[in-house]
Amino acid sequence: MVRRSLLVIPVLLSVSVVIFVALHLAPGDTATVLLGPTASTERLAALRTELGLDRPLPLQYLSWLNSLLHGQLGYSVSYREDVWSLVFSRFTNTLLLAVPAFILATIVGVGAGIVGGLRRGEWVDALLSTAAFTGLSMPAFWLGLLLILYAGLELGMFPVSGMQSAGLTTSAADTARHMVLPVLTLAVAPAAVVAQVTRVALIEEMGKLYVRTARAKGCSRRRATLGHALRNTWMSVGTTLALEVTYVVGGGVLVENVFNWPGIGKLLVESTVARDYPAVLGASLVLAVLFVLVNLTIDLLYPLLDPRVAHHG
Amino acid sequence: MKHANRAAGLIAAFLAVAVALTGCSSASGNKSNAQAKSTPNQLTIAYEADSTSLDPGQVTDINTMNVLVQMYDTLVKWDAGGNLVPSLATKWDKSADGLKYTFTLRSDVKFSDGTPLTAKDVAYSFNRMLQDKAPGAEFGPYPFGKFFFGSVSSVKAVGDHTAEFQLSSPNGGFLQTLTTPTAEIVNSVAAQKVGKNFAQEGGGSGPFMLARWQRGTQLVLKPNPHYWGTKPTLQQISWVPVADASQRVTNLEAGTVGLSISPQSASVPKLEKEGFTVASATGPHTWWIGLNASKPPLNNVKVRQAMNYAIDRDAIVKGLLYGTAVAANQPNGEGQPGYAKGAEAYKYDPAKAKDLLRQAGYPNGFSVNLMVTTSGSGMQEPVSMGTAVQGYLAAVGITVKIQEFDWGTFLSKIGAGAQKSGMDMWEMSWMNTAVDPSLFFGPLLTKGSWPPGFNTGFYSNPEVDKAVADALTEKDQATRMALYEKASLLVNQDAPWIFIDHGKAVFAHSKNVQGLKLNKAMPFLLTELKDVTVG
Repeated sequence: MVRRSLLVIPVLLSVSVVIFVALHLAPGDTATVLLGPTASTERLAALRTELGLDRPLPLQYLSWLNSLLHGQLGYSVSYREDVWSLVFSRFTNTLLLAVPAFILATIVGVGAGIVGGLRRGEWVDALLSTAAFTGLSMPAFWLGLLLILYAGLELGMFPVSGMQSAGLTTSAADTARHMVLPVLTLAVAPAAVVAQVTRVALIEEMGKLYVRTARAKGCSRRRATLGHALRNTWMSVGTTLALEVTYVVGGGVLVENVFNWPGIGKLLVESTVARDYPAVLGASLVLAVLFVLVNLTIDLLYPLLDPRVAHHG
Repeated sequence: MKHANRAAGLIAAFLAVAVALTGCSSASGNKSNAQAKSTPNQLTIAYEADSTSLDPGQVTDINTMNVLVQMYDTLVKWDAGGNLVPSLATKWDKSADGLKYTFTLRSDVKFSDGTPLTAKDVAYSFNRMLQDKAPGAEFGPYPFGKFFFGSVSSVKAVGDHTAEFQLSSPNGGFLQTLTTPTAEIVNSVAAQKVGKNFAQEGGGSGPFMLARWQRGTQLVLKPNPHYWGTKPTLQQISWVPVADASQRVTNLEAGTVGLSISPQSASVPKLEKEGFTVASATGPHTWWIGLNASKPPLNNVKVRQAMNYAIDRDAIVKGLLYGTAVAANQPNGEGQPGYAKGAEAYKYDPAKAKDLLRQAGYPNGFSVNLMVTTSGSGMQEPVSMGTAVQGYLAAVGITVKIQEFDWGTFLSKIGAGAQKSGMDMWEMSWMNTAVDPSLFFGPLLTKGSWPPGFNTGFYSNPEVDKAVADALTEKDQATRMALYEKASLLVNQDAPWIFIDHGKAVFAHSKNVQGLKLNKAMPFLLTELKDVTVG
């Protein structure tokens, strides 16, 4: 367990190096984008010196790492803001969509999977499977646009963009109304995946010997499924849920773009285009930490879910 | 088997419903309902991106400048007729050698925190951009400072109401540069007190001040209680960043915003049909294809003229830009200073183009590359326009190979110049914020601006260089404009570019937003917003 936790550090370091190198491989830099077409060589050079971009790459990386170790993520020139507060506020905005979407997807997905598994072969199962495949095949931004067009524009039921209505007064209720369409859009694909995985895992378990034994001992089909088989599906379902966390946070970039939601996905795209190195590195690091922690948590939970899995240290 | 059939049936049913829904077009009745719901004299505006900074010295994008012109004033400004008139300065004198300008300031101006605006604020606002050791220089960078005011060596405050600008060389376009948002006067006391955070709050003397800024979500302005001019009718302006042009249309239709800046041009006819007002005006914007004149085949003027005849500009303006632009045949547009009447219009004539190519020695055409960007400020529809140009040139025998890049990469190639980057042709556009032709001709069309300067294609005509240089030192404005017109005619004939269009400033708004006037000289900036009423 300790060894697994310690692996986090080298993983995060490698992620930061890869992103740093990839960013600097792209032609153009912060100065080019900031000055635009009116840039003269002298002013570009002066700006680069001011931003520290003329130092050798390893030195720039180590300088960033050094400030990181002092708890600083740097200053974003394109947003004129401290990177930590920028990334933190955008990240919490993303969580406002990701957490409800994840909960919704889990409840709906697991529920649909159980029903489908229990009623395998019947029309309910066909309906749910079809819905799941349809959900998986719909691109997120297309679904988002559809919802905007119909639920938002035609029916006027929900706001079509942003986190809150313009103006000086804000309320939790207003933000909640703005969350509805993007959360629905974001939850569809994960719900479909979770549903399918749950269904297949449950069917597989139900075919095993111990279930038949329980039935032979007088257990009802329902109790055998939900009481015994279901518990053994948590390994596959748990792994899937971990992957879905990745999706709702990182994959939210498409949904954030369609709904104009100022989240971390949108920040990553904008700051990459602007070649704003501190912002991209800061945002990527936060996401990397999240993914690593989620995977670590699942790893550590495995023995609880299935005592047969032994810890190797 | 049975289940597969059932599943297939369900899928078919779902698809049928989806197609039916997609097929239904929306009735316009819903849209006017959305227009009605708004608070009196509160305006919500959808703009292209969140503001970058509220310090005018730091800002390079027109998008943020629209917010700045509500919060700050300049020494001089453009009036409704496109003339340069007093604003913060009541009058000004120029020394005989053109190297010293003395401005007398109004005495009744206060910043939003009640502090009086004096000459020392003028000195601070400019010196910090021009001198590395001046107070405020450490809160930069100030990317456009030297671009606009490179001829200014220093600004001195003489008493409270006189500001002296010392120039290192005469500049006939100097006053015009003072109309740009980069020349806006900031509250020097507040700026020095909060340092880097001034970018988040701002502090000006304009009709509005910052009420609240939620980064990425909205920026709200409220009236400046100490404003020296006529009080605005608008009581609140909320700026909402909406990056996608089609979403700026949707937001307007849904009633989320009352005004959309640069809505998707393809939706302009639809918006008009739905009862929205689309206000537009031509301004100092130009879009062209740059040509590498340093080597064959594009070093031949007949070839470049042929390419100009090969393009159907009217079709591009109508079909790709939906009327949000006008055809171009020279650097400036009609109605802009420096525009020359009687220039060759290069009307669409593929036969003439082929003939000119034959005369130039290319009866079978040739092959070139074209750099296209996927986006970029002022680039309109760069991918479809680049593809259209490729098509038109193919029709006269010129094979164009397109290379697409993102804006950052594209800019770095442009910056290196046509030779280093191996470019034959490239898209480019220019927004001349100061409106004066000196800031267009100088950087783009003179020999002095060859790479590493911005004359990317190595164009050179000594007569153009002379006219532009003379216009810089010429004292009479009418004579200056005649010189630029002469240069414009020469550029039109030399065709160093394939001239394509001048983009219009386009603003779509609901009917209850009344009284919107566009500035004749610089319509891309909403300088007259404060007089708008929202019913």
